[in-house]
Amino acid sequence: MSTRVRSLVLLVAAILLVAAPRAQAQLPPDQMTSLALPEVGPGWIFVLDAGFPSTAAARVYIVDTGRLKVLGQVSGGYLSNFVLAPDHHEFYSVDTFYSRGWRGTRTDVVSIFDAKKLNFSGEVEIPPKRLLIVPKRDSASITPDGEFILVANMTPATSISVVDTKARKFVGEIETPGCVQAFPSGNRQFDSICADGSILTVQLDDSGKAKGKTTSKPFFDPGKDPVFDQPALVGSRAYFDSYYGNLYEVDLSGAEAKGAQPWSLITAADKAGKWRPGGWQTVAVEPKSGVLLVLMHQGGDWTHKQFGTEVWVYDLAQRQRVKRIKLKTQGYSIFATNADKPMLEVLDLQTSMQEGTGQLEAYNLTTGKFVGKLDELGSPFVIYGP
Amino acid sequence: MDKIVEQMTRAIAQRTSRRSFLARVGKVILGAAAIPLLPIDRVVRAADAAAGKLPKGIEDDTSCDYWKYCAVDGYLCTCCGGGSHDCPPGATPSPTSWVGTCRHPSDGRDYIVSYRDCCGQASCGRCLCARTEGEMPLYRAQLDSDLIWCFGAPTMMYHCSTAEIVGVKS
Repeated sequence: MSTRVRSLVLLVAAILLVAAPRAQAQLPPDQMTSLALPEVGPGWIFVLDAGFPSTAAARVYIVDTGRLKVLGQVSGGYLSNFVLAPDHHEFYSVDTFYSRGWRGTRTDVVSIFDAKKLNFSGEVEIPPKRLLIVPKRDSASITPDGEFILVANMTPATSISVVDTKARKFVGEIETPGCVQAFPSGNRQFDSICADGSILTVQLDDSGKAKGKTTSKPFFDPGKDPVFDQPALVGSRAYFDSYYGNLYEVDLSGAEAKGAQPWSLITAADKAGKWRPGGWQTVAVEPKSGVLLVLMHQGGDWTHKQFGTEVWVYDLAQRQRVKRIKLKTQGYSIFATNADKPMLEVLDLQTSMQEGTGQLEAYNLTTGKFVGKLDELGSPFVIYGP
Repeated sequence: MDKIVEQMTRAIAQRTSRRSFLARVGKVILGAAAIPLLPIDRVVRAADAAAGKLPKGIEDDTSCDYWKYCAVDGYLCTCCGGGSHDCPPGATPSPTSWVGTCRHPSDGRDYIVSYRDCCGQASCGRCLCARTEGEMPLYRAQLDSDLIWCFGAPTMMYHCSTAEIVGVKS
């Protein structure tokens, strides 16, 4: 650009700047409001930030994975769990509080939030025994009809507290000796996994009390090939991946759980390359596409919590691996969504236990391509779906 | 293993007045525990395999590589004003814990190590060390390091993690 032309451009710009305020009306004062959420969408996920390094206040980021945007937050307490009403009208945070923050009297509650305004709308006090652990998904859950919330306890004796969501009342406690967690497997039924590799199925009556209990045959050998304790759940079918790379499918629909013959997720070559599952939430299923996803890394024995470098995709019907997705950064928890197309959501925890720099990465499940990321998510451990 | 857990429970019981609680805890843990033989045997094998190459911090109790920390998971008390088997001021040792087996780098013995949390202060947040040798999922609770192991302590508020030798594996 010549000097003369540049001077002319600057002159015009200066005139416009001076003239602009006269040509426009002044801005009206802002009116400040609180926004409301739309209906829960199929591409939404709920990311539980355990709040490390303090852990005193957990929170759940509500994320639209299509836009990779945080829509709002549900605030929790000490190592809280999250529960979503199946009809999406309420969110629940299962919390422990001490009356003076880190000291004082312990109170455990199910805190209730309306799903539009995210206002706190009530609480149900439960026995101060809930399982306190780096958050695992099935430490609290809800029956498919939304009637009962099931909260795992450990003192270290194990039991389940039952909360009636309609009456907003604590119903009672069901002992589950030697068995932990609550996988909801029917409107009046849940399952817990036991130390010997069996499954305890508990049937409830309409008031939420235990009506029957059945222990299955062990479906795996915890001494030889331990399964991870956060299976993918689709309806009343559970998909457990194991430390040594096997997949155990369990039918939880009946009064007695039934394990199927396990199948291997890894070939002899994978085994030689020391590939195995690992991380936190290590397995997911995308039911519409009929695929199973497993977070994989290369490592020796006892590397079951190592970050994953790849997600392996399996055709569930064929029991065949169909794809390997290389992750941009290492992942710790995975989940699948399918709003308009199948997507893989990966939580990366990396240094966030100390620095709170966890992030979410999204991949197109069909092409395996990285789509985008959302950062500054604290220390995110668990992904819940709608 | 039952014997080890029994010895451990007894050793812990000698240090605490919460006997009735511990009797109960002991029963729960023992009841669940015909169990951990295999994982611990595997740890020894893993240690065998690793022998020869010792990491730099194996004798430094503020390092995550310190030999006793082979299955520790949390903030190291040595970075928080405590010791490898002492709580920082104001925190209380938990009477309950998960267990691991670690090989001493020079005497070659396998020690049963009790990973006792220090409880009753807010989280320390320093020197995160998450090692997983022999670590098991929640259904094997006594080998799960992600639990807040403050059962029986005055509060369940986790501060930091220690590693205490409770015996030699025979």
